[in-house]
Amino acid sequence: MGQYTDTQLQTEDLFFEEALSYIDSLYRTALRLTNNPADAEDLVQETYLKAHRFRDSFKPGTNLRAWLFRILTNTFINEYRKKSRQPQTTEMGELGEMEDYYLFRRVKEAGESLGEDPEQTVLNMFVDEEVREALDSLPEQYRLPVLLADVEGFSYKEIADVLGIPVGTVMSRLHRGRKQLQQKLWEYARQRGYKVEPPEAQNE
Amino acid sequence: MSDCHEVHQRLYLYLDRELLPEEVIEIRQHILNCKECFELVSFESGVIKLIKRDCGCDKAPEHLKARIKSILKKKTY
Repeated sequence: MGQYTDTQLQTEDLFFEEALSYIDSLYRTALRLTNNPADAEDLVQETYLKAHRFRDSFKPGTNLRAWLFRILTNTFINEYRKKSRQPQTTEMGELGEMEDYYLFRRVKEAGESLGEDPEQTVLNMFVDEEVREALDSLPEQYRLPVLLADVEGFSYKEIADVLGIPVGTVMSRLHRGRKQLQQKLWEYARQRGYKVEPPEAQNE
Repeated sequence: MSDCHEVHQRLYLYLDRELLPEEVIEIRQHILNCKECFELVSFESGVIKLIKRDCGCDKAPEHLKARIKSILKKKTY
């Protein structure tokens, strides 16, 4: 009480109001990282507590959303990762051999038509559990860039800032993550006797 | 004028909106005239949208929002 002026209070309010508007995207990222709603809640809460504590290190006019994601991912890497039993590395060699656009090539090899709208055909090929499992199967060094780019729509530069790695590393990890994810999706498709359903054949 | 190889090389840059406007135009022009590249670009765009669709719709529980709001309020005032 008494230690803030009205203007300071207003600025604080605006800061936290904007910060709170990102809670859904922070939470869903936390959920995909921890694979556990209780841990995801703790991680998000800790992110906001740290944002409050280190509020002065945020430069007004810069990207608050990226700043919050940076706190979230650092906190996850430093504190929560120990709890997770996910492997941290992957067999780089094996993955390195894998060709680009893996899923597309397998589908084409299977001789299926992608129809007039290949984008919609892919969207009809998989259900949400498969996509989430495929993403969860990625080692976190790949899962994070894929989440930040594909789900949250961050630019390469923003992802580099969030993760504290060079843009080139963002690109190669994103690339590998996508490859590995596509390989997993193809596994699921094969397990259930894969069949492409072009959009026009679907009952909406 | 870009060829198929160039489109394959820059596909993700294109989909991730990391190209300059003139590079985007080159790729779009190529795709208009090349069915195979169109299929690939459209397919890869579908995979990215798939991830957003299925991993991007969870919302923070209301009790978490309320808890964080009240913590921040207490700390601020």
